[in-house]
Amino acid sequence: MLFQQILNGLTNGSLYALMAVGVTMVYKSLGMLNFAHGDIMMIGTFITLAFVQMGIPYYIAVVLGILSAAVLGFLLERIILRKVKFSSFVNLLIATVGVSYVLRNTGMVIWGTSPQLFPSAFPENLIRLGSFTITPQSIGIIVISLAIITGLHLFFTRVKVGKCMQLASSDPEGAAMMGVNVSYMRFLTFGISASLAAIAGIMIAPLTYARVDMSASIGMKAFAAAILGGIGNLWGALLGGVILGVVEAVGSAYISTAYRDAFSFIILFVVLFVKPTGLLNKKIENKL
Amino acid sequence: MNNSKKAQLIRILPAAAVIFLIPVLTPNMYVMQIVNMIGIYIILGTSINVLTGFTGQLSLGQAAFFGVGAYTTALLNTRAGWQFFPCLIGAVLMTALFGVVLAVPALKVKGSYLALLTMGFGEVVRIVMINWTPVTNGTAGILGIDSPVIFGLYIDNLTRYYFLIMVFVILGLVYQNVIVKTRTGRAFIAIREDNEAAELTGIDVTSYKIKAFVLSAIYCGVAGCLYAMMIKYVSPDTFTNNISSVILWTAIVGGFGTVMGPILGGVVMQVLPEALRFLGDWRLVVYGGILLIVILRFPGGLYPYVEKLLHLPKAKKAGAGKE
Amino acid sequence: MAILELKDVTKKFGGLTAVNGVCMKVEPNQICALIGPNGAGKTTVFNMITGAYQVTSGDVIFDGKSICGVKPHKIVERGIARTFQNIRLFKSATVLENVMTGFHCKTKTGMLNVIFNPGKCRREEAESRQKALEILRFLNLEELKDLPAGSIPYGHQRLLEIGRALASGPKLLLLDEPAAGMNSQEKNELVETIRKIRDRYNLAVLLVEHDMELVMGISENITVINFGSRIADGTAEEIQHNNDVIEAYLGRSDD
Repeated sequence: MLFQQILNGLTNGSLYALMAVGVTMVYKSLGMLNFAHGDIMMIGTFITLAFVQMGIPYYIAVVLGILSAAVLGFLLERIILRKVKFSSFVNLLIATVGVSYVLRNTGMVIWGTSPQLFPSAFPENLIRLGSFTITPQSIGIIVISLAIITGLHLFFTRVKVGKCMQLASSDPEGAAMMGVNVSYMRFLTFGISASLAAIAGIMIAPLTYARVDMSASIGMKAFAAAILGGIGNLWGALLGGVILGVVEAVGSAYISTAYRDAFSFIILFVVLFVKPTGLLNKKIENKL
Repeated sequence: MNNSKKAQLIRILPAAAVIFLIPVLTPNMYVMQIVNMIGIYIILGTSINVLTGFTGQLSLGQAAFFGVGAYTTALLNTRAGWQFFPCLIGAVLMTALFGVVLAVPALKVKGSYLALLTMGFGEVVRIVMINWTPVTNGTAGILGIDSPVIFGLYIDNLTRYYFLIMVFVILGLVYQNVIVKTRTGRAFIAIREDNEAAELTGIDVTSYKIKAFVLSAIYCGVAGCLYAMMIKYVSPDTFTNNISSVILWTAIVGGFGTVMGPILGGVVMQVLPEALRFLGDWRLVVYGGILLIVILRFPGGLYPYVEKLLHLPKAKKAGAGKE
Repeated sequence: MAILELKDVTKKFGGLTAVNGVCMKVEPNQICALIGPNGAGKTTVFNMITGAYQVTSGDVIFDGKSICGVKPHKIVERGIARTFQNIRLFKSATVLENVMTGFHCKTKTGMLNVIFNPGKCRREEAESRQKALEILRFLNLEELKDLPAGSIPYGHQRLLEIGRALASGPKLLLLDEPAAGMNSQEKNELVETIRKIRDRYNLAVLLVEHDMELVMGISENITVINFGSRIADGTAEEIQHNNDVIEAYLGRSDD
């Protein structure tokens, strides 16, 4: 029973991790959380669903969904965040909250508030391993998430564009002096972050149904996971996501299902109170 | 001395006239309800103005305090049969307590983390409202809250209720305007401007941050109590993150840290969605879009612009006086 | 009895020792200086005196009592005020409001007094304003009183910081590089101002300063630290002829 719950937790946790990676990337580049992250995920997921319902083949729909989320990320950076005076932290943050409000209400108008079935890429059968079971879906989610995060790590450490993005985030002035187009790199960061969110959304929707209010609940979990692991840290995001997923699964099995969504907040409060820098970060970030 | 009193009178009289004219000019109860909501949102806007505008502590969880105030009132009234003033005191005490509960972890963080912490706090409160069914009656909410009876007078229609709200709006605004010019207000502003320098100037930053949270929560508690007794029904749907954002915008659109900002913000934020009704389902999207543009175009809020407009004739008068 | 006494004060950050067993004394009404090459640990000493840092070992005695572990705002209340190396005014508040904020620990009215005892509030407020104006007049800043603190000229901002510090009624005033960014005329004026402040407000001054001419001209006692340790202590003349000090300063140009 416990082992089964941990396995379920790992599945959700790797999705939270995927979301958290996007949160972390934007935080590094902007110095703040993007409160529209969950809503970009929701929109990407529903656009995919819309394409599937139009009869477009599943994988093409998925690609289109991810692309449209990326475009949304680009737009957010280009139109909104660049316009807000960079000195005003509060305005910047509130602009992302405003975008979140607009996207969420747009979602409600177009797709309503009721949950909708979302097709899965994986077969439905159960795989029995001794006394516990696992679905191909869970395996797929864990493998894909791990692969993406590892791939991103390689991208940021080995590929030139990735390295430039890292540098532009951590030391924009230095990067600019070395001829890196910092604003373009931030643009890319937003695009990748948004695509990751859409991928996570597309994988989570078959488990939980696609619903507009997933943007709030999963968005908050992404923040919690990113902060738990230590924001700005790729592996921290993975660790944070997995811990969050497992605690949530075990907690809802043994304590209370109704308060399932509250567990992540309680973890968040504890982390912010005890070690605001997260598990994997040592230095205190002086960014606001 | 006499002159300044005269000047005060000149300012107060038109305001009083406006307050008494509004219910006369209001065509129907539907509009009256909107006017009353403006009043409630002015109080809510003041709450975040104190916390974020003056003290610099960002909060995306004001709906939680608003909700706690409303639920406390609803429960004390429907379960214990308490009347308006006892309920109000209960709501104030309860929200003050919640203010402390949020302030303690909030002391440790700032910026994005503080925004997230307060947002999470709002969500937790709402999850409890939904799930603690024996007390809160879950998603169904609490029905059948009584109208207030004050000194034997039944506040049973919206026009009477308007005057009740106005009393608290005025008290709230006056208190805000007085406090920012006192020692406490200067401590708040010092904390907003430079946390550490404030501490090294002799201000107990920890205690003043807690005070700001508590004061802000109390404003929401009063608003919540007034709301519950006006609508006579509370449910978790009313106290969402969306409402927290709207409360924050109320202060921002008016102009953070300005004393009159919440009034302007309250009017804009409540009138706009009504004016956009012709858009049907899309109105909240357009509403959000317009607010976004306001934030982007007028980062200091609208009040400074309005003030400029209003001061133009005044400046001329002062000049004429000299001649 | 010394107003301030540092006894064997040590501060470690992790494995790094920033200040190592420093002893020094400031007598009442004395103008003292703490000098040393860059990175010698002067600001760390200031931060320990004001309670911003906890001392790792040793003791800080102020006015006969230890102030180790006392919260920074309580230390201000006991009578130590400071200015900052990089000016830290409350920028969007007015000049007058900045000084009035300095009166915080000298005043009492709280949030409830505003409602239940408005008379007391008004009286205290008027008194604060009066005293703040006095300080501004003393520093020749009165004309600027209604301007936002962040908008006045740099030199005036430095003076205003001193004014804000004076408002808390200190017995000891810590000045962290008060002459930074000033021209020589402004520096001469500053020396005069510091002396005037000492005489009028009857307090001791401890300053950290890089400008040797200013330090030698004003200080009655000078403590020199290098690499976190005290290497000399004495009058300006003694310091100028101290071999360790000469080496510490000349040695700096070698690396």
